[in-house]
Amino acid sequence: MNELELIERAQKGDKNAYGDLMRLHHRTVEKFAFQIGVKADDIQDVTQEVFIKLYRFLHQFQRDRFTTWLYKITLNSARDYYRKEQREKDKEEKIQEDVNFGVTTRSAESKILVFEEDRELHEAIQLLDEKYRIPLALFYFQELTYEQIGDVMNIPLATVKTRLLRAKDQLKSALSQKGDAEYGR
Amino acid sequence: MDDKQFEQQMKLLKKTYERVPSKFNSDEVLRKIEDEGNQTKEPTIPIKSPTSKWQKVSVWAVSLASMFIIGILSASFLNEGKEQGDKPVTEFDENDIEKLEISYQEERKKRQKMLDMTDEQFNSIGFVQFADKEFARTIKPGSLESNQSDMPLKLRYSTVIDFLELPSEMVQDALETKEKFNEEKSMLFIDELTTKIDQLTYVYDVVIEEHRDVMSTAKMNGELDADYLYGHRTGLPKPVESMLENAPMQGIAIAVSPDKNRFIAKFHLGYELRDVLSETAYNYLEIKSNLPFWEAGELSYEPAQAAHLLQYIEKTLIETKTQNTGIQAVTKMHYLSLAEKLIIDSESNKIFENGKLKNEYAMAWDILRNTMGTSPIKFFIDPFYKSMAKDEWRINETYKALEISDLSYALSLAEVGDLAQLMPGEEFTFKSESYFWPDVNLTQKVHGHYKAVEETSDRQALEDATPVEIVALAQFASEFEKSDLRYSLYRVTDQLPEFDDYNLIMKGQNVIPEDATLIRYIEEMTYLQDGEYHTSVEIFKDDNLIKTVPLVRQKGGVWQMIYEEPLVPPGYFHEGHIAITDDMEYNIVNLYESYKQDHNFSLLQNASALEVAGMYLEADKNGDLETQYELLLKDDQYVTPSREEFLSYPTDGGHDWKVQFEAVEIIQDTPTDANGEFSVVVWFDLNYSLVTDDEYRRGFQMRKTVDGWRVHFMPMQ
Repeated sequence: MNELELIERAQKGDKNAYGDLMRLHHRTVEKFAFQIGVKADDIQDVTQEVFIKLYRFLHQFQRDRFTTWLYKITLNSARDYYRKEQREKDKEEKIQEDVNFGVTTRSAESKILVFEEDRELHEAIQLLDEKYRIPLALFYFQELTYEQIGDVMNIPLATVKTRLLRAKDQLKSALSQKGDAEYGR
Repeated sequence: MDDKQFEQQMKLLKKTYERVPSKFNSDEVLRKIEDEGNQTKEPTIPIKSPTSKWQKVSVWAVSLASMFIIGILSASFLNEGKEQGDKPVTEFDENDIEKLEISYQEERKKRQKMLDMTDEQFNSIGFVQFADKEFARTIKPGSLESNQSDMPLKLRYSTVIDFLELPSEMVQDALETKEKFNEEKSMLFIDELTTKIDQLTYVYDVVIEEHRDVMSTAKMNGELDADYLYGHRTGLPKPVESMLENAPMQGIAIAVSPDKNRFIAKFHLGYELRDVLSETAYNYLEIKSNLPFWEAGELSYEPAQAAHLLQYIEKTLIETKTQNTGIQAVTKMHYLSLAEKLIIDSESNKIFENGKLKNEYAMAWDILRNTMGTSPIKFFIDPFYKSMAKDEWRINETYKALEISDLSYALSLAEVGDLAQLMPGEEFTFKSESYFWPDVNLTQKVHGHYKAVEETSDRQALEDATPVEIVALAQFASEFEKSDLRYSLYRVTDQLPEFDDYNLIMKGQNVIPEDATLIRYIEEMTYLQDGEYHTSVEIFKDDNLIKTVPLVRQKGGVWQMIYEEPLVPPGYFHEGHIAITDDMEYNIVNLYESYKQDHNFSLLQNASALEVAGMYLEADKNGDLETQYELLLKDDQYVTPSREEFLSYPTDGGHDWKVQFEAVEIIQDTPTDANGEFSVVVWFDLNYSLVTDDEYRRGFQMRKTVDGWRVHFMPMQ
């Protein structure tokens, strides 16, 4: 059964078909979420939220726009997740841990970005303004076309090209200067 | 960097992103979708009892690896009485029992499906077996309990279902209560939670053992790699794939063993319970997540790390008021065993070499004997530490005579507060304190200290002065131009300038900023290092921390401030950490709305840096390039595009700065020129929900000109 048929069946309420769709696409969502700045430890929560939301909107979009919606909802879920989460930074507890508890585990990020070059590049990407970071991730890591990127972000083709150029310039400059501040509008 | 290099690096990073771990469970999502759909339906059989289950039931089930005792299971009900209209239990309907039996089997199946386990696996789980027994004992007719119990049938059933709940369900329930548990409730909760997780771990241990060969192929760069295993789980034998999919959701990570030779199932919970549990109870979970402490008898950590871990465990045990929980008992055993590993030589863990204590263990012992406060391990180790130090760390009679049971005894004394009597003079007596600033009582104390120092000419007269009092005394010395006294309150370090230079730097400066409203010291921020206590005093303006003063104290000495170079050079413009209030936002938006009509410069003349920055960001949010351009600095010295070029930039609006940012600090960045103009960076603190490990604030470049504040082109860093 091809993917369009799966979508059609899922739209008709076939949960097994939706389960198959999730298994086909969850890696895309997980990786994309991480690429646009979701922390490794939060990826599971965000990914779940994406597919729950996607199911709610499943009936409202055309089958051939499934991927577009997948990316759109991932973007929104990543933003919503950090707005909703009630995370307080307890400075005293952190100091306590740092001082009295010398045992730490490797962060989840460091297990993914093992090499320094990757870490530097990933961090430089995260420092980009969202309007540059998203098209960059969609183009280089998700291999979307300009048209598809424009569709996901709801911006004209020309804007996609401009932002990709700026993103690339800013990144190259940041990496060349290794940590010097870059200015963005 | 040229394009080719850039493209190459991006390609490599893309490959690296394949390592993003996956713990996705589509069944879990489908279940949540179904739950959402069922939310309006009333359950025919209540699953949740109205009272908190951890107050209602006290379960002590300790069932761990073979070396521990088998769990003793008891349930005491604190139910306050029968519900109205419940049938007397001796008259239950056969249909009720039949329904419950069917329902119970469905509940079992549901959990089995969540874990994706075979019948054999699921039936072997300790808490499932317990739930089955409880069902037989308390629900089925003919059993003694069901005949004699005056608890309603529904409530008994609901209790059995609680026993069947998976760890993930327990966590979810706790999070949904949206309350902070007290210590007792927290300890009961983690007791039950960790027992269930341990029992699930045994099942996964069997899976790992049975599939060791195939799992041992999951390697990256020749070493076992858990992420690789997760990423390539499709195609592995079903039990392994199922384990990798489901274990993480139940608080179990499949990780590489410390000796890197195999995979193990180990306890691993995220941070979500931190807001629910008491701090002490949460600490037990953190301790557990660091297991195993040793493997095949050998320490899994470096001795210094193990020493810090031991200190943490000790502190947690001593601070626990709720006694007699299973997890506490187990943690005590870990504490004693870990101490033994660090202190007693053994075949599997040698701490001596050629009859001499290894350096790394001597360092670990030094850490332990410098434990803060009334510490059993410090009490225990100090005698033979001193004795062996004199004998160049060779085994001597004092060491041979030591017994680990003495440590256990010291711990028991500490738990009831009796150890302090045996450790006179060791207790750290500086308790947390805070004062609104200025404060009459604090001023009186400062005067007392000043008099004592003046009369004795001896700084030791300040030995009872607290960290706050020292800082306040320094401020007093500033105000009354007692520069000698002020200077003497600093620890002499390389950073401390010479007396005259120091006075020049501090001219007109306050130790405690003029606009401070609160000054405080927190005992928990104090730590012992190299025989000295280190701490800091925090100074606040309303809710914002505006300054921290570090202090140090030798044992038996006085608190001394540590000199730090000022963040902002004297005389420079600085507005420290102002919270962006709703009123400020409202004013800025109003100012923007007025200004954008005709860009009347007179509106900007008296506007503050924050107001102009806010207007620029508001314009950016609205895609209002014209207003943004009008706010830009136009000066030959600085690059600014032409109006035409600027207005041609594409825009579809930016983020809402009012959501993104919550406070500002403004710091002058360049010297003031002859016209009185200078540049600043407006540091916007990100809203806590947007803060990451790499970014907590963003800089915004502006300039103070004779016409008011203006924004640098491309201002945001």
